[in-house]
Amino acid sequence: MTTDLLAARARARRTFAILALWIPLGVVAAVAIAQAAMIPALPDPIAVHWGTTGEPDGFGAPWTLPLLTLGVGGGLTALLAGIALVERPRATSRTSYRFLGAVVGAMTGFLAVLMLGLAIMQVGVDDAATVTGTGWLALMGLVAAAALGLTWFFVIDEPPRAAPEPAHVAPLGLEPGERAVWVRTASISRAGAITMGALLGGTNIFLIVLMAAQLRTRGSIEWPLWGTFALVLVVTILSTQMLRIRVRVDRNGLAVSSPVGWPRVRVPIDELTSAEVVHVSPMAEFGGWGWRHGAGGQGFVVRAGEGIRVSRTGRGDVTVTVDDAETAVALLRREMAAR
Amino acid sequence: MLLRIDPTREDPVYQQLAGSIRADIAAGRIGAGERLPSAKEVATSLGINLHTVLHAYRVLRDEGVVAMRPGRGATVSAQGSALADIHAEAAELVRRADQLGVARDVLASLVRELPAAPTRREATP
Repeated sequence: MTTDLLAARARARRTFAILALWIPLGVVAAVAIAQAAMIPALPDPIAVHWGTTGEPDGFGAPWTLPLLTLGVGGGLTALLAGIALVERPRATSRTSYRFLGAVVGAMTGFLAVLMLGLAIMQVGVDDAATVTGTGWLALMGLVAAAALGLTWFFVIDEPPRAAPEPAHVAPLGLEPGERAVWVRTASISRAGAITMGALLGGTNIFLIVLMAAQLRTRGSIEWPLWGTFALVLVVTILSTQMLRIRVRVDRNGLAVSSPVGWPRVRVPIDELTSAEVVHVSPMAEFGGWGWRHGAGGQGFVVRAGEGIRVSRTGRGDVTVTVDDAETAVALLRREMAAR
Repeated sequence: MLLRIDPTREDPVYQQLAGSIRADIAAGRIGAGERLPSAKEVATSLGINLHTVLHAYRVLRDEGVVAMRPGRGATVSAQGSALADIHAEAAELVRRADQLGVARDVLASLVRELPAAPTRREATP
């Protein structure tokens, strides 16, 4: 039984490796080779970046094109596919092949169209400063990304996984009249804080620098830029709500909330179909830390390790990382049995 | 932390609740400086009166186990976490008493009747 499952997982893993690692790497290599072949026909320097007006504003040597393709495409593919492939093969692991595979597929499609297009556009051109019209290329890239991403999403299968291990956790022993409440706070781990801080801090700084540059050169900040900044700022503020979460289990069910009260989720005891202690791996299952929506429903993920996972009737699972999950699950199971 | 009460039992609910919180502190499940859940939250979850919960919190405050400050709610005091320090010895004492057939109540009164030890050193904070 378990050997069958592990064999099936190994097959799924091989399919995933072909579709999400080897094919994308092959495409990236092919694009780089094609670009390299075009070098004799390209102007020197070539345009590598276009400003918001559509005029090229960044130039480089022709060989930067294949190098960029290999570095960005190869690097991102190896990173994303690696997340799924280096994981220890555990029968109950929930790593989403579909999600990671779709991201790699979309990225490959976008990059291949964009990078190949950039080279083709400049073949036979004498002065790279005259090359315009990259907006269409980006649009075509997005279409390719959507097409490949969706195809990969439906072609790749999730690895089969064993049903969660049956109740090692016995319902909490309470007297018939006894009532109990379990409360616990979970704080973000160092890895989560660093990742979130670097990502959000970096994005914010990058946008502020861009805005400062635009203010100096044009005297005003255009709306796409400050609009993006406003959005990123909202995301940043929301993320700080995920540094500490409170988890409560009582006769009403499970409640998870951030300090300000949103985001939060309540799972009434009547909607519960199961409660388990799980081992959560933030990157592989949810693609990061915070309030996440992954393959298996939503998650309040502040660190790796021990957590509670409940399933509900007709809706996705809720996962929350918290210490002493065993007591919480024991109480949930007691209240489920008592309803 | 896990708080348990049983309204069908004879002893008052506030005492049960205070005992339950004390046990959690003693077991190290909640440490010095950590905040207790709000009285309102506990009252709603356990389906008991808010004043019962506040009563329990006041008992613990009077014992010096928790500190209550406006706006910050109730937090476990340094004195409170001393309970965790003597928890193992207390458990050992109870084990010995059970072995020798000494009832809990008798043991408790024995502890109460013991003369206070002369304080040769400052109590650890």
